[in-house]
Amino acid sequence: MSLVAALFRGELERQARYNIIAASLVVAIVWVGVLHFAEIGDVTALLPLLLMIDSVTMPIILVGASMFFEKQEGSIRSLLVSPIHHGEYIGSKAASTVVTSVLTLVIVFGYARIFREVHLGFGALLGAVVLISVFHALVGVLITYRARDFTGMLMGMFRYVVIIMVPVVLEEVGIIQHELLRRALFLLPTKAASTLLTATAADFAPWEIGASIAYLVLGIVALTVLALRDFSNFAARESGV
Amino acid sequence: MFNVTGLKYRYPRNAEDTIRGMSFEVQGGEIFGLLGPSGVGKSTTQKILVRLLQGYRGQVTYRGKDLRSFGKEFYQRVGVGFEMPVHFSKLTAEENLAFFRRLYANNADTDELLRRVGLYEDRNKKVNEFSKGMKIRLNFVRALLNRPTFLFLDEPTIGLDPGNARVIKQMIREFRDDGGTVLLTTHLMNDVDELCDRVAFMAHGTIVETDTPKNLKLRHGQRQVEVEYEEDGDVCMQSFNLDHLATDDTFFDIVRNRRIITMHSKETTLDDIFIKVTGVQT
Ligand SMILES: Nc1ncnc2c1ncn2[C@@H]1O[C@H](COP(=O)(O)OP(=O)(O)OP(=O)(O)O)[C@@H](O)[C@H]1O
Ligand SMILES: [Mg+2]
Repeated sequence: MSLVAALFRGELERQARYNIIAASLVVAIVWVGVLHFAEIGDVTALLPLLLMIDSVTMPIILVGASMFFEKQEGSIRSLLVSPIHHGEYIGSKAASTVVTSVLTLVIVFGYARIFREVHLGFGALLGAVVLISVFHALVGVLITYRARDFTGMLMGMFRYVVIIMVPVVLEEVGIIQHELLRRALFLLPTKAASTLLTATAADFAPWEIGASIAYLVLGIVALTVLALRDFSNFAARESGV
Repeated sequence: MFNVTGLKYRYPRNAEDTIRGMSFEVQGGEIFGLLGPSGVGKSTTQKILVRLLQGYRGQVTYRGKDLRSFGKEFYQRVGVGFEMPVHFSKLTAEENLAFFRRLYANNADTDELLRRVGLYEDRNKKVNEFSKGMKIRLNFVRALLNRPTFLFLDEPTIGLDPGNARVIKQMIREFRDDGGTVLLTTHLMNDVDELCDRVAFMAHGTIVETDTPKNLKLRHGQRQVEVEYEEDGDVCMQSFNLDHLATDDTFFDIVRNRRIITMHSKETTLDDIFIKVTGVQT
């Protein structure tokens, strides 16, 4: 078995054992609850918003929690003296986060298709969710590098959510309407995220969709470079022999 | 195996160097003990040699090649035994070992290792249900699981009962006898006596003494006999040089005319040498 596969399998095993999968299933059920009680027949507008919130916040929390556990119980030390490359370590974290995000997507979308009306393509949603959750798994890695403890990690995530995600949500629900502000939102990765998630229902110009994909892909590349660059510092700090 | 010359290291946030010019060599097939007072930089040195700390100055070569030139393959045949916990606490011992085994090209028979350290029966217990000594023994198994040829051990027997400590020491010796090389730090001079082929004493960020335990004792040794005796109702004590005992009249006077309470020959212990060469009073 290749190293990446071994690491990925280990991540999934631990997600199950540390109740991380359970936690994300609970959140998925919350989203289903929202759809259920919203009492709107057509959830085409609501669903992308929920998926955006989920695939922005959950990867940050999941990656942060798993790295925090590794720091706290010292298993990170054991990983650091294993023949694995930093990229493989980070990649396996991102990949396992995608699994939980996709699981949520399947549950929430499945509910919407069966019990509600929805005009969104699953394939497009899947692609969008994968990109958004990889992007934010990497954001989670960087936040965890900088955080001193779990509270610090949560604070970092909170700051990210308030500054980067909330404005886009406010626009989606119609609270932000000023044209200049709306344009400014295109600077945020979450705007690209929400654009992609609504792409199959709304009439975006192809270049807008292309730009959103490019934003997230380039963002993933840039975040990967940062995550790899700062890994050594993180390793040195966490590696009391 | 390892050749270290003029090694210096400063932690990023510190004003002064922790390692201030260390030079030593770990030869293939030996158990090399790195000793010194707490906080002197033993673990720091180990961290540098296991490539966890970058940005050191000086030269370190491993098997004749610059340590920096190695990639991740460095860890394929290197085992690192930590003194701190290193396992996924919500997985069982066996699940932990199974996970780490999959990361290496070579695997030891971990069942056999678990049996030897007395953890086989507990292999399906979660690690957070392990006692301290059980975790330490599991760390040791973890260090051996990739069939390493070089083994780093940081205080491998601290926190173990004498029986388990003996098993671990026996396994370390067997590892060496099978051709393995060991770099070990410890504060237990007993372990040094039992295990180390050569030792280096660290003080003030450098190495102040390197030799075999036996030579150290010979060089720093005072061979004395200490006599405790009664004189006019008081207890007195006097030391005599063992080498000149035959011609020492005072000694014979005491032996003939006083009541001897105790008489001990005193060889210098590694404890004494430790305190002498590192300049640390305990
Ligand atoms: N991450 C760090 N940042 C800054 N200074 C550190 C760090 N880790 C260790 N030090 C300092 O480096 C010095 C050497 O520490 P080290 O852990 O190497 O000592 P040691 O010889 O292993 O001691 P002990 O016998 O107690 O384990 C100490 O003064 C310690 O405060
Ligand atoms: Mg130490």
